[in-house]
Amino acid sequence: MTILWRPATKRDRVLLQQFQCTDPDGPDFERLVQRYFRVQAIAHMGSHDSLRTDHRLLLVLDEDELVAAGCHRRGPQAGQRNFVFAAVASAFQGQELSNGVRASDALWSVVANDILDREQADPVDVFARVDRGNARSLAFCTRIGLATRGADRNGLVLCAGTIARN
Amino acid sequence: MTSTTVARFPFVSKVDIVRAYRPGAAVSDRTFRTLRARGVTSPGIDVRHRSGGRLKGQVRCYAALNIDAAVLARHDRHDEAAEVAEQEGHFEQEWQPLVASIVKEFALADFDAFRSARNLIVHALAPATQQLEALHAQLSAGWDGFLNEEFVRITELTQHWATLQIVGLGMSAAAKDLARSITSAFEPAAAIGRQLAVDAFLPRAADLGIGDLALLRIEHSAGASLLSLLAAIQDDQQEDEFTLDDEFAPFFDEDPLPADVLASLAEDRDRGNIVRVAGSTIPLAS
Repeated sequence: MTILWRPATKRDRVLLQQFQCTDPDGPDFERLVQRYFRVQAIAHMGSHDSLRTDHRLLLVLDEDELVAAGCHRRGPQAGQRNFVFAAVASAFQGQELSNGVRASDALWSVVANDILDREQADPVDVFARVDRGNARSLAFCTRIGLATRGADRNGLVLCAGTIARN
Repeated sequence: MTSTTVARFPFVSKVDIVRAYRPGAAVSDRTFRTLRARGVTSPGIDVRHRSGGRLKGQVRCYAALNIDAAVLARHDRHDEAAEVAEQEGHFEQEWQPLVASIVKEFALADFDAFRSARNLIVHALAPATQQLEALHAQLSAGWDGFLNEEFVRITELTQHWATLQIVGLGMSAAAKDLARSITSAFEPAAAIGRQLAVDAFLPRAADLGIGDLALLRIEHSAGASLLSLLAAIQDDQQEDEFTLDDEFAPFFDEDPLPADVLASLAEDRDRGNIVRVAGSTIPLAS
């Protein structure tokens, strides 16, 4: 089996429509992220808003199977990047992929490298907004080095850190 | 940009700017440096792309309204020229990443290649193009009509003459003035209905050919009329109808991060708390 990644294209519409990262009765914040990837992500990709902000929708695949999806875009100031949404497909959550890497780590590796490529700057400040009840995402952010730094004006937890090439 | 909207290609070269400032004179770096020193030209965008450690291309470009700033400077309207240059600097800063990604994706070697690829990249450039046209409308409102502009399509090109079809729903008042100006300035060039005939040198000097869209500019200056053409583009794709659902909007909030968050990030950086990212070992799918 081969783990691959690529930016999504319009042809990935069906793949994303079937993307499942939570149960039908899962928490609201998980179903919200799933809805974004299923319903809005592809249409959002070619929009003026996305072009303006260099919005990037990235997919990690195991052969033809979608393992994880994530998106990031330019932040409000130069040298900042908003890691907007990330999700690992239910079947791969907490699992190691065929290359021995945990699915969520594979996704972060892809996103972090893409951020450094796109910003053409080093280091880059990366931030994510997380629902305060979303313990799994908060733990993920802490694990990848985006520390909790208070809340934004909408009450979402701001996790942020500075990333640079090794 | 709607399917019927034509707009100027949002970037020009240093040569374009110097020609606008000193029409007919030899293009020199010295003239350009003078404009930069006077603050009537923006810093520009410089994108280099490498492959295998070697430089494969370098695109240096400037926001297109630098042409207007140069013309204003020639008319001794330095404050207005400086205002245009300042706004153009902000525009360039905002769109630098987009230009960089286009240059990289299309492996463009230089500015000419960038401009030649305009019809391929028109949709990607659409938001920048829209913003530039809005900025032009805002800044040019106080320029007393010394400059007229009309979008045209080059429909014929002979050895001596080029026929330009005015693009749009109807000839604007500015276009009618333009037609009159051309007729008087360039006999026997003529304006027939929505078509204009001009010296073929104009499209050739701008590297434009039959079928190309262009912005025709006429500048009234001390009893003379100066004509020029700039490359233009049209996004044929449908109007962007995408609307982000409200429930997702807080995650895309573009407000600056709170000051305390920025301060704590800076503190961490100073302490060396930086996340080191190893090069991706996951292959890119073809």
